[in-house]
Amino acid sequence: MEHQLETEPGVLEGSTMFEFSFDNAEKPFESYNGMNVRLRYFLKLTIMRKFAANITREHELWVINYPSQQLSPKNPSIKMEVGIEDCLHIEFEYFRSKFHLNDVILGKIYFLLVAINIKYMEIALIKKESTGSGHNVYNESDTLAKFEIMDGAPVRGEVVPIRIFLDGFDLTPTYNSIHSKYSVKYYLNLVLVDEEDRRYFKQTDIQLFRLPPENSKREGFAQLEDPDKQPPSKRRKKKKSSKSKSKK
Amino acid sequence: MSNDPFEIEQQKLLNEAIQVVNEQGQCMKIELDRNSLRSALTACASMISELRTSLLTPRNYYALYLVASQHLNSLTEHIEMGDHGLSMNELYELVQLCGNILPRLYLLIAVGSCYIKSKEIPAKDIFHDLVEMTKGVQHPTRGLFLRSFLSDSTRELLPDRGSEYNRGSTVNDSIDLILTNFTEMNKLWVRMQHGKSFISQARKEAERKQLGSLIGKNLQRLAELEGLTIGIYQSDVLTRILKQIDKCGDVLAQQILMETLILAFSDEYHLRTLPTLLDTVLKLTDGVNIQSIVGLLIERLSAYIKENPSKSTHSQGVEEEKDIFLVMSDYVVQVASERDYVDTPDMLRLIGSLLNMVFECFPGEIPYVDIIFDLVYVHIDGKTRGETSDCDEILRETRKLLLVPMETFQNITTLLDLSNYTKVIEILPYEERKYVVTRLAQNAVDNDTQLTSVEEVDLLLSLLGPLVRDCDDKTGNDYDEDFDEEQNLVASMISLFYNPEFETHINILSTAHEHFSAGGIKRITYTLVPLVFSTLQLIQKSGTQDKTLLRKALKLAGTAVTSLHSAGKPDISFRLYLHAALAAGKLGLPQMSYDFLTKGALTIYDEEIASPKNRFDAMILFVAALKELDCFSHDSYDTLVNQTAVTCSRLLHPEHQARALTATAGLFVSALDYGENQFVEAKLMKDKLSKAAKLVNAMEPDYQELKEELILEMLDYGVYLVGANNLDPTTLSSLITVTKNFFEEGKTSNTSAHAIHLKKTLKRINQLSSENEAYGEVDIYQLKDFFS
Repeated sequence: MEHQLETEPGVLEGSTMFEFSFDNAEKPFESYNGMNVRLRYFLKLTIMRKFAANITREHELWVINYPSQQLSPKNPSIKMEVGIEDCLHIEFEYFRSKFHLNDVILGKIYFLLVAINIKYMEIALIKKESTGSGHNVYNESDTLAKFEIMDGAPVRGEVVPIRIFLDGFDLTPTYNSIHSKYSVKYYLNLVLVDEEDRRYFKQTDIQLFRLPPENSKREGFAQLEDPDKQPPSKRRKKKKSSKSKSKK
Repeated sequence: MSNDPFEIEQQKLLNEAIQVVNEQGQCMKIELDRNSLRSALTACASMISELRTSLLTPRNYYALYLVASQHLNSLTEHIEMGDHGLSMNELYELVQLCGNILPRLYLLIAVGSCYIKSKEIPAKDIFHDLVEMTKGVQHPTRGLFLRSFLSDSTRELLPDRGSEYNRGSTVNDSIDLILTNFTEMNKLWVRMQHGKSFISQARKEAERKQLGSLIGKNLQRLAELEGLTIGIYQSDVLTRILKQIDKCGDVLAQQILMETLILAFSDEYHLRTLPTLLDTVLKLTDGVNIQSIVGLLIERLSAYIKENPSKSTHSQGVEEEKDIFLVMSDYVVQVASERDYVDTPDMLRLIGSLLNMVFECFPGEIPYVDIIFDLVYVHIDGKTRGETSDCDEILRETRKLLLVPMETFQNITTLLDLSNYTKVIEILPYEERKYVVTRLAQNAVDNDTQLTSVEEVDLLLSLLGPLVRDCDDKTGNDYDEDFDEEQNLVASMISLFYNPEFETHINILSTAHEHFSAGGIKRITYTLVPLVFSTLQLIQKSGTQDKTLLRKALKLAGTAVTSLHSAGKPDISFRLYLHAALAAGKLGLPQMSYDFLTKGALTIYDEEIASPKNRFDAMILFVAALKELDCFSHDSYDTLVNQTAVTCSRLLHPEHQARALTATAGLFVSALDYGENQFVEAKLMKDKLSKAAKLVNAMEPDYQELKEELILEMLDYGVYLVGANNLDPTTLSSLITVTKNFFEEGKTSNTSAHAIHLKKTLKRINQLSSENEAYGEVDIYQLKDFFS
């Protein structure tokens, strides 16, 4: 969309004010600054000169969209039983699958069979950005945060709670095929690490959405520094051997 | 400090961790002072991250935990002041952003406790949340300390009767919090033994045991709740606690927690829930020393009943109290029968608590003591003679049990009535039995316990077997260094036998004699002598006129002496016969007296007293005894005296003969009482003296000193006889003549000791002449020249 502010050529001296307005400018997408893709809205002013290069200035706008229609009230829980035969059986449950950006992820993990020595369990919040289309899709993941939810080895029958406040993370809503150019998706990755540093994990898709501020009671506040960056003295550091676990 | 490399390494790790904790704690404080709460929380989270270590042993971990929790205190203090600009709810969420679970939960608990304190939220909501969230820490050590922190942080905040945190919550919420925490902690604690570890299993268990107090603390918290009434306790709390204890199935946990439970809650509660408690104990895992648990319970109950006698009497009546003993003793029987493995020493310790209970609470119930010893008997029967490896310990415990009533009653007759008590003693092995009965005897002697019936004495002396006779099962040599002491002890018991009825007393002594005479040669020397004396003394004191009884008593004494005699103790038997004869004589039983002298004493003299010295001593004693006796007829006396004189003159050494004859001379005065023969008697007296004088004279001149001594003795005795036996003064005069000649012949210096003695004697005669004219007739002037 373009507006001509001054139709007559002439000389600009000192400060001059121009009024302009872009009515009904469509901003269907939110501004986004990703790993491999950026979506920007900006005003661009161009002063055209005959004998010299034009002068241009940009002013970026950050666009946030609140969903216009009410989201479907359906917010099913995610419940899954996973495990490795004779080794580990757990059932995990996220009470909901859709979260607004200041939401809390709540859930529980039931240990049905534990025959390995679990060291700890954490949930990683992963953002996956896909760019391009067709054969040229390029995916890039970023682990936004790791949140330890269990320390030590539980025994059969234990139930470990999950409660993660999303306030602390830098999140966007889930974007699906924006302008057919890119998508941004979020996953919760439940990771169990045993004494031999083998990792057992299960990734689950979640949806993030934006709530109008009046509905979102929470205010964002600074995340505490991750103490993991200052490990206790003498903590053993080993290279982790990855091992995927199959779904039951 | 230990040289164990492991310990050194531990110490190093601990020091490093503490240093980091202190540094971060300091950072936190600085941030707090700048009122920058968010930075302070970050520092605090780093500090607590030190607690994530798995390398420290539980003990060292505890040390680290203490340092960290102190720093956490300054955080909560700051939050409570409330000028940090955040609402409690915001703060409560803020701390949950921390990515690591352990710091997150410590902070959550710290903030949660402040939240409750602010009273903006019902305590139970926070309790519930905290208990739920802590489930995320499943590592035994870390989880245990985290929950311990929860327990400590909420300690002051529990809704309870009179608590300020009751809004929307009740004591039941406190109970739920504590019980859930207790259950969780216990589960982790039990799990601790299974995890892989870098320390030995034994060491791990020892460390685990130390942590028991952390879990037990929850029970104490419960007990501290004022709102926890007996009703709630009985219907809810106890059941839940016991269920957890029962379910965990861990020996160490069950042991420690049951003991903690008993110690934590009031005894009144235990009294009311006794059946439930006892039932649970019975079901505890094999290997739990339930004897010690029950023992503890009994001790506590006893103390309670003792301190509150009026209370229990008023509310339940005395019958109830007695029931407790019966309940507990039945239970002990049940424990023994239902538990597969019963450790006898522990069982005995348990019975010991029961015994204490009787003494503390039912001091009058002697039959209870017997019930207890029946239990003891059942448990040790067949285990006292080395059949099992713990025999020594069994014996040690049994000994303790046996000594308790002894010390308590201070009267062994009470014990003799307890058939099971004596039964237990009887199945002890020899050495042990000996020890116990020695204590028994000592106890009787120390307390001057009178034994007043034949049955008692019979029972006691049977029981005292190892002291009184040779036992079939004796080991080693009885006649060791203690023998003397032991037998003296038995001997001193004789003085305890007493009954005001003369006949009964005699019967008692007679029973004692039966026991003692079976004791063998070495023992009867100690025991029969006092028995004889005791009998004779009894006879003399009795004042009875019943000749039949007296004869019986004397006969007993006689038999005892005969036993001694046949045991090869001629000297002592000889003397005892003399004593018996004297006693008989004084009671007017001349025939018995005569028999004692002749059939007894003189027979021994003739047959068994061999050495000249002993024969001489015996005769002197015999003469002295005879001199005391005045019960004989003239003829009998005459026979005796003459026999004595003959015997004396047959002594081996002249000086013995001389002395004995001199002594015999004194016997004749008694004859004065018989009247008509006094001249004969006087003559005989003179004869003996002059015969003695001749004997002295006839001795070798080499023995001048001895001769002088003998003649002086004779002279002195003569002086005495003039007064006492009406000796003819002329006899004394002639004795003086003999003496004079004797001294002259011997050319004795008149300054020698003997000469001085003689002078004194003469002076004495001179003095006596003013009292008794007979002395005036003695010619002492013939010696004038001698002393001039």
